[in-house]
Amino acid sequence: MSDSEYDKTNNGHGKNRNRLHKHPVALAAVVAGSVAATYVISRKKSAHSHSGNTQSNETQQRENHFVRTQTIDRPASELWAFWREEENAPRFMRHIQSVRKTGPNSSHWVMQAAAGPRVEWDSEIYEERPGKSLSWRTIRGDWKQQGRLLLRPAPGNRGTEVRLELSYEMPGGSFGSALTSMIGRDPEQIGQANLARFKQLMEAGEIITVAGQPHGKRGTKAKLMQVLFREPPGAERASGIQNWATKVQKKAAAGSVAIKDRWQQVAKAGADTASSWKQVRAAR
Amino acid sequence: MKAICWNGKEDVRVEKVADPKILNDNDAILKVTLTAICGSDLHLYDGMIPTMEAGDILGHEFMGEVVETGSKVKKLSEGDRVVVPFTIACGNCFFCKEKLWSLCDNSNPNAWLAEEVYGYSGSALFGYSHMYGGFAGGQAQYVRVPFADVGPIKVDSGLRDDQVLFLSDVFPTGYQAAENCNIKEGDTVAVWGCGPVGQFAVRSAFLLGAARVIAIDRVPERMKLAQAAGADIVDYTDVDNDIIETLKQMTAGRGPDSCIDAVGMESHGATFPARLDAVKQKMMLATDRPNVLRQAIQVCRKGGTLSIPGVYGGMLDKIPFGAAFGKGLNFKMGQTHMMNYLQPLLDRIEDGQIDPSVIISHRVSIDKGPEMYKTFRDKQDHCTKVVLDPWN
Repeated sequence: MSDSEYDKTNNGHGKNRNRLHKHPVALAAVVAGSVAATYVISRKKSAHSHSGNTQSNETQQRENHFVRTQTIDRPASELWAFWREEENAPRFMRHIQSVRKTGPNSSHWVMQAAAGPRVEWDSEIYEERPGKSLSWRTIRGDWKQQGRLLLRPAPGNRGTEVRLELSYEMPGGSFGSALTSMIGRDPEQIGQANLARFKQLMEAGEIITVAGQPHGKRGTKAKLMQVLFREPPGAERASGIQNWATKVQKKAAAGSVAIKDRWQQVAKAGADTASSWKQVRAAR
Repeated sequence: MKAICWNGKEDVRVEKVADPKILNDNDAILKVTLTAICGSDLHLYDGMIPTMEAGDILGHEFMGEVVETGSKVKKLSEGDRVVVPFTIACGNCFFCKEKLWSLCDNSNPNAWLAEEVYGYSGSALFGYSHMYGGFAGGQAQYVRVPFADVGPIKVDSGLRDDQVLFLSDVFPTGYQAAENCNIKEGDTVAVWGCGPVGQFAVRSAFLLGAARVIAIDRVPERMKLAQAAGADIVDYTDVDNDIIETLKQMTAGRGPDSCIDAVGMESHGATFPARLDAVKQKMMLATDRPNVLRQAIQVCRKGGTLSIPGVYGGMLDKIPFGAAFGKGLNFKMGQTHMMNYLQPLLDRIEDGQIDPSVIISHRVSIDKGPEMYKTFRDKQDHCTKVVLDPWN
């Protein structure tokens, strides 16, 4: 793989879709699935996905493709070798309970979040270039996905730029919605988290956790989150904090407009008073 | 064990909680021998910092004795007496290698929370909201310290706990603030805020060669402490809040060479913009009250440096950026890169160049912690710094 390939895929979501559709299993799934539109589409928020999707496309199609990148201060060969060893995955991928090698390029994956169903699938690595790229896809099982890891040296010897691409489909029915609740609350976030955890493990030698710490009496909200997701407080609060930030920004913007208006009124009133005084004086 | 837990705005309590355990191989567990309330804890007390949860254990200034170590910890062993810096760093990422420890990539398990707000996440901090990692703090009888080989510094000399405790935050923070001023012989440095960080900024500015330090506050005992360190003091309520003109005259029209904002997001003041800030903040129209920052930008000499150890959290309004540009000011800010300062500052304490314990006004039991938050926040009872004994 050349660097230009790493770059090319930056805005190549259409190509990603084609690639998945070329794959027989995925293609079969697309045909079998009733809503082709729910398959592969770039995440609309990502900076490089505005390449012509209409609004209706974005709202119709499910977000089940993402691309995330991370710079890791270790040599590409080391990162590649660690990721290539499938059985390492549970050490840094969230909810992956176990991975068992079933052949030189194939493996059996078990995913289980505390509050979710048990999900199993077989995966194969179908293309690999040591130190450069690794591609895998589901060959059978509960969760169809196709992924690729691309590596290239960061400028100025600052480690390796790692790019993770993942396309996946969601089965229908209650199983599908349970799966969605586990991985689909924000899959891109989980992808980002997995990359960050990979980076931590490679750079710092461990993934730091706060689960299991002591704490005082929790409030209702935190308790609810823990019952629902069995996760420590704060760990799943992206929307909360984002809402807070946008709320403050919006209010601040609205507020400064309001204050400006008020000042203009005050200034105008002042000017009016002054000019009426002038008139009064002139009349005298 | 006993720990001080946040329960909401102006509501902190001493609660009985489980003892901490080793959760990562690089962790250590300390028996806390002395801890303190930091001025930045008051932002939590005032409910200014988002992503706090009821039950979170507070405290990021603490020291103690190692009672347990994880399997990968090499430098520490049971019985070691250590002071722990408030920032948590992995020691191996790009930022740690560049000695920008407080920007560590790998210590915040909730990094993505901070990324939502700030673009990228800084390092995790002890006891300072889930956005900063959600780590349990050290206002407790025991505390877990991650990456124990990177942060803690051993103190073997006969110094008392209260002489070295402030290596955990306020002394290095004040020192870095002064170092960021890039002080040259003969410089005049103005310091807003004579709280603990301001006190150490004043003393550090002199240590680094400032000819004159002007300290600005309104609380008599704090100004007295700054004066004792050699600073000229200005009570901003005396000068009718016209700090800018006052400092300009005090420096015969030059302006201070560097300005240190050791106040941050909750500054007070009676000027019109300051009052407007207070109203906007109450109405959730703005997150911070940057009054000091505005004054410092305005009064700093041409080509001077603004050093900002005071904490800011969100959106700032009405910053005279034109003045900053027009005068070619330099800005330095951020959390302290603690690990750069621990040994050099411990050396200075051991040499007798400085005794950090002079700022302590209250030595109390952890049981009195909650009321001390209020006392410290309201600057009652001549409170300049509170240290807590977790065991008594």
